[in-house]
Amino acid sequence: MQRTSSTPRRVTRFADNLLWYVVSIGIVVLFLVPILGTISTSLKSTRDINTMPPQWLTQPVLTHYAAVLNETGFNFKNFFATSLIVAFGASALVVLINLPAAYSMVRYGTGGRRLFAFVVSLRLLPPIVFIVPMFILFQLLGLLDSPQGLVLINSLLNTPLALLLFVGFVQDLPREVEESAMIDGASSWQILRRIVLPLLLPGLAAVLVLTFLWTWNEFLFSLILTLNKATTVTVGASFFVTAWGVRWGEISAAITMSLLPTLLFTFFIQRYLVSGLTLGALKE
Amino acid sequence: MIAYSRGPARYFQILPLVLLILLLTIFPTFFAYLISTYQVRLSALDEGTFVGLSNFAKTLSDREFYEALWFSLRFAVVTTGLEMLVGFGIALWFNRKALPGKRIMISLMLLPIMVSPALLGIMFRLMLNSFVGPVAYYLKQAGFPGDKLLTPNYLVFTLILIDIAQWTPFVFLILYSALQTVPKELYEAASVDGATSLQKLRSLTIPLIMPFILITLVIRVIDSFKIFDMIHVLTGGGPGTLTTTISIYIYKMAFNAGDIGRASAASLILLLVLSIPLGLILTRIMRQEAR
Repeated sequence: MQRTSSTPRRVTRFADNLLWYVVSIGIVVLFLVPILGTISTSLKSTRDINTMPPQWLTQPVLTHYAAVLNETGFNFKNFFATSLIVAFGASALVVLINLPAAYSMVRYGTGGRRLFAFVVSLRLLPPIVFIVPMFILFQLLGLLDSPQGLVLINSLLNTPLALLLFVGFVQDLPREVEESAMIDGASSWQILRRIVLPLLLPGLAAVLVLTFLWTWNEFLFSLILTLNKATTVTVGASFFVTAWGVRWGEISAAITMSLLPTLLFTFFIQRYLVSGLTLGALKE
Repeated sequence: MIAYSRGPARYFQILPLVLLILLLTIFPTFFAYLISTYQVRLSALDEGTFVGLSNFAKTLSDREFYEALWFSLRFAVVTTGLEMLVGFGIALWFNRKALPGKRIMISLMLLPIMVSPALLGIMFRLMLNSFVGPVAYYLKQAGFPGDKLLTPNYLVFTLILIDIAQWTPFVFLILYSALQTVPKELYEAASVDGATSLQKLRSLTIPLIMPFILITLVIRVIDSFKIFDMIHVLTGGGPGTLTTTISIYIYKMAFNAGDIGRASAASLILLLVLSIPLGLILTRIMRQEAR
C-alpha cells in the first residue's frame, strides 16, 4: 500500500469525499421528505400552508396542535391514552410470555425446533386471514372495542420477533453461572429471575421498545376490533383525514404527535433491527 | 447437564406462550374452517346456514378474486425488484467510505421503516395534494405531473412509489450490514490480481452476500404481497377495484359486503397458496436454528 500521496491525489480524495457526503445526505433527506414535510406543515399557519410555492422557515405556530388536543368532536387525547395503555400492556405481556418460553426452549429444549420455527413463521402470515375469526372470537369473549383485546392481539403479533430475539439472547449467555447456581440448589425460576433476567436487561429493553413501537403503529386489527372506545392514535389519525377534509394543519399536527415514539426510540433499537427484521437469518 | 432437564418448571415457563398461540392462532384457524362452510352475515352471526363448499366455489369463480391476487403479485414483484436494486445501490454507496457522520445518516435512514404504513400513506396524501402538497408542487415545477399523482391514471404508480419510499431503507439496512461481513482482505487480493470494480462486485461481493439478498427478497415479496394499511388509507382499493390487493379484497368481502363466509373461504385459499413459499422459509429457519 502506498502511503505517500501527492497533492493532486489528495485533492481527488477530498473531492471524492465531498461527493460522497453530498450524495449521501441527499439520499437521507430524500427518504425523510414525507416526515420532514409533515412536521413542517404542522408548524405553519393555515395561510402559509395554502401558499404556493411552499413557504419554508416560517415562524412556527402551535395553533394546529392546540386545535387537535382541544377538538371536541374527535378525542385525540383519548386516542393517545389508549395507544399508550395498549402499547405498554402489550410490551409487558410480550416479555412475560416470551422470556421464560425462550429460556425453556434454549436451556431445556422444550418444544423442540418445531415449536420455535412455527411461532417465528407466524410473522410471515398475512394478518388479514385472521380478521374474521378474530372478530368473532373477540365478540364471544367480550373483548371488542377494549384495550385488553388490543393488548392480546398485539402480544400475538409481536411474539414471533420477541421469541426470536430472546432465544438469541439466551443462547449467547454463558452457562457456567447458571450451572453453579443450580449446584447450589437454586430452582429454575430463581435462576431465571436472579441470574438470567439481570443479564438480559439490555435485550429486554430492546424487545420492550420494538413491541411498543409496532403496537403503536398497528393498524388493521385496531381498525376492525375497535369502534370508538378503544380507538388508537394510528387509526384515529386516519379518521381525521376523512372527517377534517382540507384541514391539513390539524392533520399534520395529529400525525406528528403520532410519530413521537418512532422519532424518539428508533435509534435505541437500531442494533436489534437487523436480526429482528431478517427473522434471525443475519445477526450483527 | 442432567440437572438441566429436571423438574416441571420448564413446562410452566413455556405454558403462557402455548396458551397464547392456541387461543389466538390455532383456535381461530379451526374457526375459519367452520365459518367458511356457512352462509353467514357479519350483522347476524347466529343465523348461519350450512352450505358446504359453496363459499369456496363462489370465491374460485369470482373474477375479482383472481384480479386481486394478480394485482398483489404484480405489486409485490415490482416493488420488491425496485427496492432491492435501489437499496443495494445505496448500501454499496454507503459502504464505499467510513467518514464521520455516517452512523447518524444510517440511523436517520431507518426512520421510514418504523413509521406506521397507514400514517405514511396519509403523509403522502398531504405531500402529493394538488393544492397544498410541496412534493406535488416541486415535481410539477420540474416538469412531472406531480399534482396528478393521486388521480386514477397515476395511482398504481404512486402506490409503488410510496412502498419504495418506506421499504428501500429496510433492504438498505440488511444489505449494508451484509456488506460489512465481507472481509476487506478479499477486495485487496482481488485488486492485486487486477480485478475491476464491476468484476469484484459480480464475482466477489454478490456471491458472498447472496444468502442475505435471498432472505431480504423473500421477506419483502411476502410483506409486499399482503399489503393492506397504506393502500386502505389512500384508496380503499379503489377507484372500483383498480388498487384492490388480496388483503383489501378479503377486508371488503368481510366488512363492506358483510359476507364473512366467503371472506373466510378466500382467506383459507390464500393460506393454501402461500403455504408453499412459507413452508420453504420454515425449513430454512429450522436449519438456521440447528446451526
